[in-house]
Formats: sequence, C-alpha cells, structure tokens
Amino acid sequence: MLFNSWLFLLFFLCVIILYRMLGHRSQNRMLLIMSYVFYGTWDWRFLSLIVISSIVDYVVGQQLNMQTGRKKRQFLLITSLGVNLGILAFFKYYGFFIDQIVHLLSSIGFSADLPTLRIILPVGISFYTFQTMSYTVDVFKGKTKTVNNFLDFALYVAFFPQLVAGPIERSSHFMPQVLNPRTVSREDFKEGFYLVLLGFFKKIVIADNMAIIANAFFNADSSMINGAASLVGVYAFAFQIYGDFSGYSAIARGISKWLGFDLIVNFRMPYFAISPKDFWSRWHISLSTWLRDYLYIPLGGNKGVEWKIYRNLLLTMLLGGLWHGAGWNFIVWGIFHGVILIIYRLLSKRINVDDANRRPFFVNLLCGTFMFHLVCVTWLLFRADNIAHAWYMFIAISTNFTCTPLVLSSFCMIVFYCTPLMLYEYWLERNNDLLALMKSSWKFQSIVYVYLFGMLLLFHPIVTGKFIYFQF
Amino acid sequence: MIKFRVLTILVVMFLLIESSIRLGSQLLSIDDAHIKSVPDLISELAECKSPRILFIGNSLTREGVDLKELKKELDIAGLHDANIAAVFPDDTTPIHWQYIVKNHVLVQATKPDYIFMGVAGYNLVDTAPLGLRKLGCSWCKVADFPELIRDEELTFHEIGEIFTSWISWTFAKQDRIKKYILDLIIPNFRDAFRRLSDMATISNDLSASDPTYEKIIRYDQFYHSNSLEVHYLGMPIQRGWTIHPKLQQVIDEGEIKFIDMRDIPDLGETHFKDSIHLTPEGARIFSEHLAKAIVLLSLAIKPVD
Repeated sequence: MLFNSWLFLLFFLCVIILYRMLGHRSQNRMLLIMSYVFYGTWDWRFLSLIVISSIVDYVVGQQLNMQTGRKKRQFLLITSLGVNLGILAFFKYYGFFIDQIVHLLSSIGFSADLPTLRIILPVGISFYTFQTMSYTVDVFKGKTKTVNNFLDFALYVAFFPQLVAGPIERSSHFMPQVLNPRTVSREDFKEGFYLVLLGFFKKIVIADNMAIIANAFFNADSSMINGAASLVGVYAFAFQIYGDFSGYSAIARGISKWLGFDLIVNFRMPYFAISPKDFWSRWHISLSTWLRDYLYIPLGGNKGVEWKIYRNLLLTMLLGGLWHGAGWNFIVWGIFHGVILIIYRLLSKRINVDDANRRPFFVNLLCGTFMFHLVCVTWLLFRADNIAHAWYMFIAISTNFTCTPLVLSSFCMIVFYCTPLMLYEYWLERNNDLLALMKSSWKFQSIVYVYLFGMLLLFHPIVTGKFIYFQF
Repeated sequence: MIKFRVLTILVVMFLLIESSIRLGSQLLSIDDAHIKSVPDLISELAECKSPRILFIGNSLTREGVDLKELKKELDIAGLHDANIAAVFPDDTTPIHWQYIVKNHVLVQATKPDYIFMGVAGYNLVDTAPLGLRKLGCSWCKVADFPELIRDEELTFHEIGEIFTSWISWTFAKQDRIKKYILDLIIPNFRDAFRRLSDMATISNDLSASDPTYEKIIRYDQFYHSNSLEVHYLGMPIQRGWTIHPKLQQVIDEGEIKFIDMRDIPDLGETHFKDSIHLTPEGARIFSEHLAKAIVLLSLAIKPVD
C-alpha cells in the first residue's frame, strides 16, 4: 500500500475516523492492528518477522531490567542482536554472500554447489530491525526505560507511517508519545497538512518525473550514452532519490502529526551541504545518527590516534553502504563516502571546511557545488547496474561530452521541475527553519500552496512509481 | 484567519482552473473540440438516409480516412449517396469505442448500417491501455462505472482514477495540459519525452509477453447483442504490423470481423508523415482502396433499414 495510492487514502480515512472515536489506550491498540494490516498488504507472511523481532526485544528488554549481572546482561544483548541481525542477514545478505563464495571458489578452480535460495526481501526490514535493535542497546546502556506493555512496544516497532522507510525512531523519543495521551492541535494539523503536501510534491512531481529521465539514461544501451547524457542521468537520479526519500519522510511526519505523533526530522536541505560531514547531518539523519551512536562511537569515534578515527569512519560508512543493499555498488558507495569523509577531515586540519558562517557567499557556493557533485558521483555508484556500468558512465562524463537535443531537453526538464524546489529550500536554509513557511505572510503561503497543489494536479506522471527506499 | 485565506485562495484557484478547462479546452485542442462534437456527428448521421457508415477510431482513422475521397470513390464503385461520419478521438482504444457506441449510437432511433473501427494490432490486445481518464471524463456515464469496474476488473487505484477524472477535468486532461505547457517552455519537449519514455521502459516491452484477445471478443458480443455489425479495419502503419496467431484464430473463428487493409500496394514510405500516420496523399490512396472493400462488403451485407 503506497502513500500515493487511493487505497492508502481510504485506509487512512478509516484510521483517522476510528482514532478520533477512541480513547488513548484503544487508539494504541487500533494503531497496532492497522499497522499490521498496512504491512500485511505488502506481504502478510513477513508480518511474522516483525512479531518475532518485537517479542524478542520486548522479552530481552524486560530481562535486562531484571538482571544486574554484567555477563547475563551481555548475553541478553547478544541474543537480541543475534536474532535481529540473523533475520536481516538471512533475508538480505544470504544470496549475495553465497553468490560471492561460489564465484570465488569457481575462480580458483572449484565447482561449488551451494544452496542458493530465491529469498524475497521483506519490505522495510532494515528500518524496523535497526529501530528495534536501538531499543535493546539503549536499555542495556540505561539510556531508555524498559517498556512494560508488549502491545505498546509492538506499536513502537510497527507504527505504520514510518514502518517501511523510516525515519528510524529511538524509543526514548517515540515511546513517551505512545505511553502518554496525545492531542492534535490546530497547529499540528496545519503542520501535518504542509508536510503531506510537500511530501507528495517531492515524490510525485520531482521524483516520479526525474525517474523517467534517470531510468532512460541508466537503462539505455552503452552505445547511446555519451558524457552529457550520463551527467544529466546522474543529476536526474540525484533529484529523484532526494524527492523520493525525503518526500516519503515528509508524508510520514505529516500523517503522524495528524495522529498526534512527532517523528524526527530525516532531511534538512542536504544538497546545500558544504562538506561530507555536513551532508550526513542533513541526509537520512535518522540512519546517520544511528550509525554514529551504535557503531561509530562504540568503535572509538573520533577519540584516539588518527588512523583509528579513519578506520572507524571507513567501517561505519562501509556498513552504511551494506545497510542499503547486498551488492558491490553499495559497498563501494559506502567506502567512497568514507574516503571523502577522511579527506575532508585531513583538509579540516589546514582549513575550516565546515564553518559556512565565516566565509563569503561565493566560497560557500563553490564548496556546496563541489560537494553536490561529489554526492552525484556516489549516486552514480548507487544507481548503476554494477560497478562496470558506473565506471563506464563516469569515464564517459570526463571524455565524451556532446550535448544532443535529447540531453538538452532532459536538462531543461530537470531545471523546470527542480529549480523552484531548490530556491524554496534555499529560502528555508536562510531562515534556518524547516517550518518557516508556517510563520510567513498569508500571501507567500498562498503562492507556495497554489504552486505545490497546481504542480501536483497538472505535472504528475500518469504512472507513479514505488518508493526507492522500500527495497532497503 | 491566515490559514482560512490561504485555503480560500487554494479552492478558488482550483475552481478557476477547472472551469477554464471545462469551458475552454475545445478552444485549445482540436481533439477536445472533436470530442465535444461527437454526439452531434452521430445524431446527424442517424437522421440521414441509408446507407449510413460510421467510422470510429483514433488518430490512425483521423489521418488515414479521407471522407470526401471515400464518398467519391463509393459513388464511382456503385454505393451511391452514402452518408458517412467519422469519430476519431486521440489515444482511444476499443473500450472507449464501445462506450461511444453504447452512449451515443444506441440511443439514436436509427443505427448505422456499417460501423468500421480502425485499428493496429496493439489496439486489440487485452493489455491495451484502458485510458481510464478519458473514459471517466468523456465517454462513460456514472451509471456505466459499476459495469466498467466489473468487466475490466479494475483495481482500487484505477477506480479512484476514473472517479477523479469524472469529478475533475483538470485531472483527466492533465497529460495534455502538461504537454501543452512544456511544449512552450522546453525545446523539442514532445519528441524528447517520447524517446525518454521509450528508453525508460525498454525492459517492460509488452510485445515480449503472450497476448490475449478476450476483451475484443466481449466487445463484439455486445455489438452483436445490439444488432450492430462492427468491422475492424486493420490500418497501415509505416513499420507494418503482424497479426498474432492468437488474433488470427479469433478472426478465423468469426469472433470478430476483420478487414485486412494493412498492406496497400500503392502506399510507400513517403505516404507516412511519421512512423504511424498517413499523409493526406496517403489517406487519399488508402480511402480509394477502402471504398472498394466497403462496396464488396455491401454486396454481402444487407443494410439494416
């Protein structure tokens, strides 16, 4: 069930009507049932995985609360991580690693007949697994309280607006909202409306229109693709993935607002980042902070000798790449991000790369443009069919740059669709407030709302696509 | 207060756009003007004397059938004083034509003696696009929706689409408005968009799948049950098209009546203005041959009156 479907509209209407009729405890039960229904429409068989994850982490959380012995507590934590990572490894990585082993063995002359299962990847498995693991780790560290009601905990794991593509919530932020009665004020409703409209605009107008261009150039036969076409394809994909994922997050936050929940901000104008560190504080914030808190810092973070910091950065980004998918392009994508983080860290010893306020606008513009193009290189790795395909397109960009009429038209389409969004985000950036529109004059609000609504009505593609991040 | 103003402006803007589209779309689009004239064209034909000939199709028919030439050739060939009308809304397929017949032809006191529907192979397969927005906005009545939903086994999403198209013409005609605007802004937009769409959907090539032809049989049964004889005209296109063995079986078993006009000896590459549509000269040549086929048919079929 996609957010941008009529079925979801009907589903959400039912949810909101029931929600308004029920008291707080009953609201939680209803939301849990509806969350399972929502997930069941994808594939009801995989509901069992969510239930297993929920039971394991609930029981482990309870036991952690009761046990005081260090070894027993460590055993409980390892049990939880083992089950969650085991489920993730089996469904997401088993096929990839078996393929690699078979390939490796055949390259040294052995013919291996290993069981290669055709495993379907459950939607959103990486999101809810990371979410539920964070709870156990936080309880282990004493950073969050144990949840004493299983159904409340199950709602934390399965809350439908963010179940299949995040944001990855922390129990310390989300559970108090489950446990305490919620209210929806007029301001919440307005904010929800704004977020939902903006989210649909980003998904349907930006992402789905950019998908046509990106798919065309990434699917095309190599002989048809020159440097200009590759570059335009990468630009289109950069805006497609941004519109797709940040659009989903905005809709998730918007509909949660209507239910009285406040989800964490997942995107903050990422293409205005001036360094890799800045980019990761703006892009998929819930994942980058998860990786920081549960991987980078436990590895040692930025303490200790310099080479260990570089190792920690590289390992964290490598696992961040693997989180996205089992494939060499995701691994290289992660390593590339790790490498540019290291290079910028080295540079930051000589020049202050992160302090935009002390530099003139022109220098920030150059830094931002350069960073955007570095990110585009990583998107090339992310979207290409394989490393060879990415390499071919990258070489084409630097060697064979002829602008054909098709490329020119495609570039104009990107400008037409994406420039207003970027100008708007620049305005938000200048105001340093994601909700600046809510505080602006009614005339400006009217212009923005009419534009968003008009574009949604007139410039949506006939066929809308699924959200890219559902596959993760 | 501020929110109320914003909401009011939003609603007013929508109503303005919607009413502009409803009132003025036929001024901006020849096809919309034609769609508006369809009921009149069909009722005028119904008032004429036999033989009455109705062509229904899409741009293949619009560009392929030269009505004046056809009438002249029919006269020469012996079918005198034929009254001909043609209905050819863009991007329509047999399902739209079924509803044109149902809602505009069958309501007339007299029916056409001959109905010809101009098709290429991709119009006849069950997977041909349903064009729900056109159905919802132009060709179906609300009372037709339950039948349409049942017969075409529409998904919930498709049901939502057809109802929204019925409510909002802006939504229904969005693709045309979008192309119209982008044509003005982006150089070479229409051609680029078509090429991009083709490139983006290479892996989803429908021709690779095994086609079925059950819908076209069902539509024909509907015509038959209403005492209408519908003939499908296999239209020429530049690259040519082959009749799939399954379609051939449908034709051979008499499930549909098919007149094969795909290969007209006098038509060459220069008679096509693009990969599909005939030039005026091509249409003249095609209509010459079509007249002969109709006369042959008229000898075999007795008119309804």
